Amino acid sequence: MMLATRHLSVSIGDVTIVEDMALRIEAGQCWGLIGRNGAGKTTLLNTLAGLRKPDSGHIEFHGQALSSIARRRLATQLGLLQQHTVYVFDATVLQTALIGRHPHLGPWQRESAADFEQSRRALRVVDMERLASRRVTSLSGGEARRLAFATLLVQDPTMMLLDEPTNHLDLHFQVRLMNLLTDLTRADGKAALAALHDVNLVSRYCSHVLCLFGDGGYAAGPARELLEPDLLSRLYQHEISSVESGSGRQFFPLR
Amino acid sequence: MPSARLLPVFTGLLILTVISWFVALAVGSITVPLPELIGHLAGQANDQAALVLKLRVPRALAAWLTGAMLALAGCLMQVLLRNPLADPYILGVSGGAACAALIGITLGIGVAWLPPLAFAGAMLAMITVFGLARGSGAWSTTRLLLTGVVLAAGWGALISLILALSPDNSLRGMLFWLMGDLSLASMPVWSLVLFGAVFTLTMLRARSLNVLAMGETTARLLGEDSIRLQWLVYLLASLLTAAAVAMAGSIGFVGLIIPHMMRLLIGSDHRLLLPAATLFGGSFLLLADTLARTLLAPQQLPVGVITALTGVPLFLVLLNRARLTQ
Repeated sequence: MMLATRHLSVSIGDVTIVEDMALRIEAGQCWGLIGRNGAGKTTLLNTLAGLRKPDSGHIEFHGQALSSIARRRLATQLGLLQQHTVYVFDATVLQTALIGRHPHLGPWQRESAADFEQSRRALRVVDMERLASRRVTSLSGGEARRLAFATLLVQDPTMMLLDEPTNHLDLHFQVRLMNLLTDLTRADGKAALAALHDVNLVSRYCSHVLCLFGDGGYAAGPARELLEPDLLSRLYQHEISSVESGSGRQFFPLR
Repeated sequence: MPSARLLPVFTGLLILTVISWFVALAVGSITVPLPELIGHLAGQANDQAALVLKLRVPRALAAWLTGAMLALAGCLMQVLLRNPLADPYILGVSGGAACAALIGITLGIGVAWLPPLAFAGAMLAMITVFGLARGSGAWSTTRLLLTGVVLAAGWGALISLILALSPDNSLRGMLFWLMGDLSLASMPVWSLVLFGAVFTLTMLRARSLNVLAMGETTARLLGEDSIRLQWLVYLLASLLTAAAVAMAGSIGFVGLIIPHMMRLLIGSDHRLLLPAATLFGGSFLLLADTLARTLLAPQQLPVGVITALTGVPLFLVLLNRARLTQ
């Protein structure tokens, strides 16, 4: 069991995000987190990353209470790709990716050749190796997004939380990123929970899905069982239909 | 950043440091030729050696340290507030110091008491910001920035009030203090100790500063206790600023421009930025102070005026070059 919650309740302001949630995320699983705007996807991810306290209930990471794990040790095993990354000071793309090694290094330790190699490899994976010496403040939105993902790869956590990782990415990189996520979870025994807005990406790539209804209600389970037009229509409060296609079931909103 | 540039930059900085020290010690009312200067420093005793060792060395050290401390404090404040426009004075530390010093001048307190008084004022300002920004536990850099900036404006108003009410004969001394002036500096033993301690501590946490520069949430996700680190940075930057202001008044420009220039030259990795800014800040202020006391000798100019007048064009040139090479 990698990440588990028991009786978890989270709210922000007067919005209840989840109430009494029991969630079990295991190694090898890739979860899609879906819900309407403002349903609390980001807040839930932040809570699961230990950035904010839940109202009540327990979060366990590898069987240990999340709040009892030292921040630095946690950072070597759990990572969160934030929805926004703002670079204020100029650094090169490679240096920024290298930041991901921070929790793995002692305070006075310099990055080794292996750390540099790992960063280059991560940049290669997101097709940014050629941009290694570019300044981060000159990157396009999609490039900055890919760099943030590369930094997460360099951090190399076993549990990856991702807040809208496909934002700003073109079709090719959206698919490429989702392929990567499924590779990392299936082959490397990691786990992922990714907030996504594209239901078709979720149905095609995610093994499991967590739906937030925005009123504290939730649904969690294998994607194949849960993803039905009825549930999605209720989730988005918009009529949604589906068709079978060569690459699986496709969902689309009706007018 | 480009590692090919590191060696020339640091070699240049070291050479600049050595040159600025020799110039500062050699130039003045009596010019000491280089061979004799080296002799004096090596322990050769005569009247000229006394001049160099008793008068010029303390002042040169005070100038170098002030520049180094302001540059280091500027780097720290910029990371803390995640704003490349932040300078050591932005949160009102110098305002508190200036108020205390001006009140001291008004009351006719002896010159030797001004530095400790200014330091006490700076500490008062720092603790006030700390207490108010901390509030009921919820904390953010925005709150710290707003609290500090508002209090700094308050100190500014107090300073104007004191100046308006002061008799004409003390105004000149006050203005010199406000513009930054090293003519009263003595051997800065405590500042040297403080600077050494803070520099060592920040160098040990330099990679953590890199992470903090990416934002407090990112820093937490990468394993840093952000809030503790931010308070530490605030405390260290304020201590440096307080010591610098107590020694030399509020010398503007160094703490803002030097970190900026070094970022343009070598990038934002604090393991390189902190020593580079420290070396350049020290040499820059040492040369500026030498100019201040020789340009219109025997009259001494406030060094703060020289730092601004030379710093502005220097910075603009560098900024333009950086834009061209990008």
